[in-house]
Amino acid sequence: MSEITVAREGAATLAFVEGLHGALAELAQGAPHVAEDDLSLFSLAVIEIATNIAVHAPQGGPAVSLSVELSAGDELRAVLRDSAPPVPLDLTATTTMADALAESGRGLAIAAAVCDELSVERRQGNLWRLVRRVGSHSV
Amino acid sequence: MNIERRDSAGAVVVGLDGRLTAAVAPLLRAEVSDLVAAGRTRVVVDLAGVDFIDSSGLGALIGALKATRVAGGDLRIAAAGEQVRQVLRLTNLDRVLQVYPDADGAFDGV
Repeated sequence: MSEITVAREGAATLAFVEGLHGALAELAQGAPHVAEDDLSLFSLAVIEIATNIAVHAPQGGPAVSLSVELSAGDELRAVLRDSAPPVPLDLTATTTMADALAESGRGLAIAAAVCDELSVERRQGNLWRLVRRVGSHSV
Repeated sequence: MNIERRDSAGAVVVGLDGRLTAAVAPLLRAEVSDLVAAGRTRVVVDLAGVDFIDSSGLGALIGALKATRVAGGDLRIAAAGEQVRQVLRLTNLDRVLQVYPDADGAFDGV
């Protein structure tokens, strides 16, 4: 199966995250074999992680950069690399869905729920990898 | 995202369109906060024009819901599309924010 890749790079801001919707639409156009539900949930996960990076980027210091590579083939994959200080994050602890009336804290839980693989590595910044396998889900 | 406001049978309908994400969530919080401060505590958020919501958008809806309830009112959502419904189910918020079919009927019978 042919694979399509879409990449974006910029400062880790909410405006940049909004721009990622265009990149995700481009990916969807290039991957007509992928079901709408898979694309929709994968897009949600990518936006959640990118938003997390933008919101937690330290203010006042050098701007945090963010590069995003999206690809679609047998699976949907995203790699997000930022230049922020390492995130002290235990993914297994933060992926429980927040209480009903909580106003924040759902982003990572959502990403974990819709991805088959979600990981973060500290490597001169943070390297996030997201994978959603295509056509193998009930949600 | 655009926000427009109109009156409907004792409630205020706040109509949104586009994406309800972190970039615009503060606008919704501010809008509902202004309404509650003005004594308008029955609010319907019309989501017919919203094609994408994320956890930040949900957080703004929950914050707005709490603001209206603390003031003795309520907030209801209406006309949500499939992506919004999917995210509500995923986060178990479909029980807290049930979707009314039509913004103008969301407070009927109250």
